[in-house]
Amino acid sequence: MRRTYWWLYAATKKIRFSMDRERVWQELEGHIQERMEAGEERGLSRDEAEKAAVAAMGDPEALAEELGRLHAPYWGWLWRVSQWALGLVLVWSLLAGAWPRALEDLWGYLEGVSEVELPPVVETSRVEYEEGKFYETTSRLVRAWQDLELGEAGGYRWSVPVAYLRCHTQSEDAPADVPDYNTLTIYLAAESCRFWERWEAGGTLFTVTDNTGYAYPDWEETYTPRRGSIGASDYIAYSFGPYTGYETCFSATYRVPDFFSAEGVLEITSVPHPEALEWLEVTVGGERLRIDLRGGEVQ
Amino acid sequence: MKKGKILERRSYRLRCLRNWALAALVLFLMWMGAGYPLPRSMEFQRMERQRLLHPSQILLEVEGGRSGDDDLALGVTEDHVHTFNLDLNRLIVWERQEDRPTLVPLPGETRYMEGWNSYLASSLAAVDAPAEAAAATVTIELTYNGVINDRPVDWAETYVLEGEQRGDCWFFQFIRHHAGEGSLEEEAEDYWLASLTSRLTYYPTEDLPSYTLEFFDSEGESLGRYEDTFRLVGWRE
Repeated sequence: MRRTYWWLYAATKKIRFSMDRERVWQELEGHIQERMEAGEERGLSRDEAEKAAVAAMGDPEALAEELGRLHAPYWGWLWRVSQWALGLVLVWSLLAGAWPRALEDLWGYLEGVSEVELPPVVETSRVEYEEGKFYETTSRLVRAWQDLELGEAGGYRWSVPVAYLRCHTQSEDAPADVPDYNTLTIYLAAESCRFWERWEAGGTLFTVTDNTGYAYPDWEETYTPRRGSIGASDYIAYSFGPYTGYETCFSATYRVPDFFSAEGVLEITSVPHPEALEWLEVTVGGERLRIDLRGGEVQ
Repeated sequence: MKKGKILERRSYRLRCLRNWALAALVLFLMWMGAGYPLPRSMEFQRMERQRLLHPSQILLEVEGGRSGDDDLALGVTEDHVHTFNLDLNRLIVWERQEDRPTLVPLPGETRYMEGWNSYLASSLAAVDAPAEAAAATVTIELTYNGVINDRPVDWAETYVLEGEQRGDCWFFQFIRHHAGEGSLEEEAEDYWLASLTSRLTYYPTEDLPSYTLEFFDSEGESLGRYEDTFRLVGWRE
């Protein structure tokens, strides 16, 4: 068996990744054994069978070159470490319970945000204001804009996918404190490749002015808390102040973000002179965005 | 001989790259699932960038624990003071006074020790203090005139808060006057202190208390006495 040993030694001597050398040795040895057994079955002596088997295995030096190149320790160790790293990361992720949340987020991103659609030109809704008493609100789409590009600000690319102005008219049987009014709804989208810091539409300070110089108050400025009582479990009750829902003011809400973008919905109630509206300037944080609202009349 | 098989099976390059790519993907999904957390100082900068605010210089960081006290910070820009609550992703903007120190409430509770017990407290922080200040106090009167458990309460309490210098900031905590009494005064104090931040930020039109901020040198001589009220610019959630 000395011949086999030397052949195996020569064939594996250039494998510098020690973990592999042993395994390759065993595998090659297995092949030689198989050939030897086959030779012995053909009637060769053990020595002859070994000689034939080793000869059939080819030039060990040439094989050594190839094996040495393939089993370089660099990739071998990297592979070993990568196995450990993957195992650890998988165990960590399972222990941390990260998968449900991650998959939910991923699904949300893949699903994306539904496209914003313009409301119907005329829409009537029935409102019950007291038990058994109803009035109708007719909402008409007066002006609408789509895909307005606002440019770059604060590292985000801003656009208005949809904006529209609606007039809401009450039927004659509406209560006296429900007036006719209008609403200007603006979807403000901020895109950025920095998906880990999408615009926080909900956390941004807005100011809104228009071309007539009117500065729209935030709806929260029209909200006055009223002190209630501290009960055993009910700590304090705040009540609405003079805010009725029809004052001129704006409110901002947040839409489910896309992977690379986030949207805020700016709704302005009771625009004082809708016919004179040419542009709106929205200060988002420290950045000014001008929204051109000329045209857009709905026939 | 099956040399090809040996060579093929022992080729590590692809498997190695595959394993690293999978590990990176799992790490990325974990990062995403956790809401893309960053190191603390980068979190503050990110909160500002996300709200399109000018970056501030962080002057105070209060590390929270696991029992109700939040990760808080305070940063200053030329015109404003930003206060952060990392746990609630809240950033509140205050006016920075031009020619005098500015006192702001921190948007969360901090912990203080009394003997072996620890308590949560509302906190304030002052910036732009005189350089030679060795001590500082805030005097503030809190009042409550309302109903607790169906009983009318007319409560007023003056708090004198001792400041603690932390870097370029002075840090103050509301140490409770009433504890374990079960009295209406204690409930009123509990209520006021628990809702201090929200009173000064969410509903700032109501009963904004004024305060007196005073700094002293190492000899105990007054360096300046400032009477003012909190000046909120805004916040959103």
